Amino acid sequence: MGHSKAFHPSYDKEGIKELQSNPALAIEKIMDMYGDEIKRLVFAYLKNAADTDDVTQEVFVTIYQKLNTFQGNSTLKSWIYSIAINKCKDYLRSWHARNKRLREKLITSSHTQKKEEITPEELTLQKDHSSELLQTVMNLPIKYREVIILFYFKDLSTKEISEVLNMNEATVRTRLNRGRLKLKDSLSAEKGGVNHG
Amino acid sequence: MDKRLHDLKDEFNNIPISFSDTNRKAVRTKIQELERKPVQKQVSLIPKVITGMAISVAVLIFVITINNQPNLLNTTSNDNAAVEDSIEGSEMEIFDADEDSASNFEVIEEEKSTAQDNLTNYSSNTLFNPETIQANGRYGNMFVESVTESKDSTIISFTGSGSISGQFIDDNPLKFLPDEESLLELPIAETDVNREISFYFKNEDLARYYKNNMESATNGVAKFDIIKLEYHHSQDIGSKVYVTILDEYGIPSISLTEHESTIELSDELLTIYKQYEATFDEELLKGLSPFDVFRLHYHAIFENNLDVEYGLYIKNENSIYPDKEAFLSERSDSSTDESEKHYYNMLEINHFDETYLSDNEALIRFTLDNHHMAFRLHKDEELGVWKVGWLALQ
Repeated sequence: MGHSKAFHPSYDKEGIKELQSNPALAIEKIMDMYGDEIKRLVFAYLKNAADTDDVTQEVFVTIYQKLNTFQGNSTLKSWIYSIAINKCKDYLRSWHARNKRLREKLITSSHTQKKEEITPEELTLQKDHSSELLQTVMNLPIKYREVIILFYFKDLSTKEISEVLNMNEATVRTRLNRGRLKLKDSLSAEKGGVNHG
Repeated sequence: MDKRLHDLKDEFNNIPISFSDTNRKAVRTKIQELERKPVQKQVSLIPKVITGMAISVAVLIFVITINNQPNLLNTTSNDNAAVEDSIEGSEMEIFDADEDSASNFEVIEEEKSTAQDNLTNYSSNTLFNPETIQANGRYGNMFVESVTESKDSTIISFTGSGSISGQFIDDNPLKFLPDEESLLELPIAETDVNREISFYFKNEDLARYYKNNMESATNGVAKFDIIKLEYHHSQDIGSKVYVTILDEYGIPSISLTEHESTIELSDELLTIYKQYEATFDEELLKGLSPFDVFRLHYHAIFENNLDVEYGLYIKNENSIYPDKEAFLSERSDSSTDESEKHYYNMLEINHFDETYLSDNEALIRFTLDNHHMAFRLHKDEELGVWKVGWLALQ
């Protein structure tokens, strides 16, 4: 199944104006074009299906609210990504998310039957050996995980990532390198662990 | 690894996630709810009205003041005229550019003319006579600390607080071309007014650090606070000035270690934390860096473990610290919500600089909500471990 670029038409100034002239229609188009993609990105940050729904919805509401402020200085995709990423980070640092994480920690440590609550999305991340690398990516600290996902899975250039994450391009490259090294280390450590075990 | 990651893209895109119709409906509903709340906008008029009234009152007061003192504006314009007269009668070259540096020369020519515009200020406060200058004299914001004679120059050391802005022009040694505003603030020998003065950095490492990291963001113009200025005055070989600059935290040294990590504890450090929590054995802290102890401190806050938090404070005869009872009482009164919130804000930071101010004092510096923060640690020399300073965060 190809991941066609035709799915992501780039908008020129006129196209953006047209979108901005009818926000209600625009948000429908944007949801069609970016719905799955943004939801997957949000999931990559939150790693939790229930919260992913809420936060993704918030992303599109924010896009609707801010559409008329979009100047077209970056691509529409970068702009939408930066909104989504900021929403995810806001959420992760919120009290709600924190409490939830703490609760989950408590639940896990008290050996209650957490497995029953696992969603298909989460299950995919756990199911078989083919996902070992993906699991390792998803377990990276967020600052490495995000650049790996944006670069390798979302096809953003380091320049685009620097715009989306509002950071220096050199930092993006450093994090990509370190992220790759961390992945290597984690994978070899796991293999070592299995052999020893 | 690169190829494996590229190959992983399909797998990532096959995680069964779709933006369902339910999601779409939820978005539409939320948008509709938003649009049903226009009433709140009326509230925003109140501050505008208040601002408008305040401006009107300010304008009214200004007009009344001017009416009561009709000579106020005339006096100011006479002052300006006096300044202009004195400028016309003087001509000054601050620098003669190197002949082989055409681009620098253009910059210097522009600066010369601007510096001339402010000559009155320049000559009144900051010019000194190198033959007669004495310790404790004041020139601008700098005080003369000492005057010594060397083989080929008179070295005048100034201390105080000033600033210098301009551009880096040579790299080895790092040379700086101050702009006209800086020159007006700095002590300059009368005999150097028409001559070239070369500016260098006493703490070149820090200047070089800024040159490498900040220049592109500031169009090549760098600005520093300075605390010392060493003026090597020489009629024969040309004067040289060495400035000691401060970084944005007010520290004249470069960061020794940069940590690209968050305050979360590594497994190893967590083990040490747990052992320390159980035993309060100071030996466990031996070999830990200031940044490690800084992270232990925040972990104690996160765990709301006041005993560990107190244990990590420095407590020797040279430091100020509360007794445990007072500490516990104060901390139990303060909001744990606030400290936890602070902890979570801190968790977002992933770059820390560890700077040693001396062998037994270190700062962990970071940026939080666009504010530069510094966290102070001290070495307990008796125990040989780093500890947190009381009221460490500045």
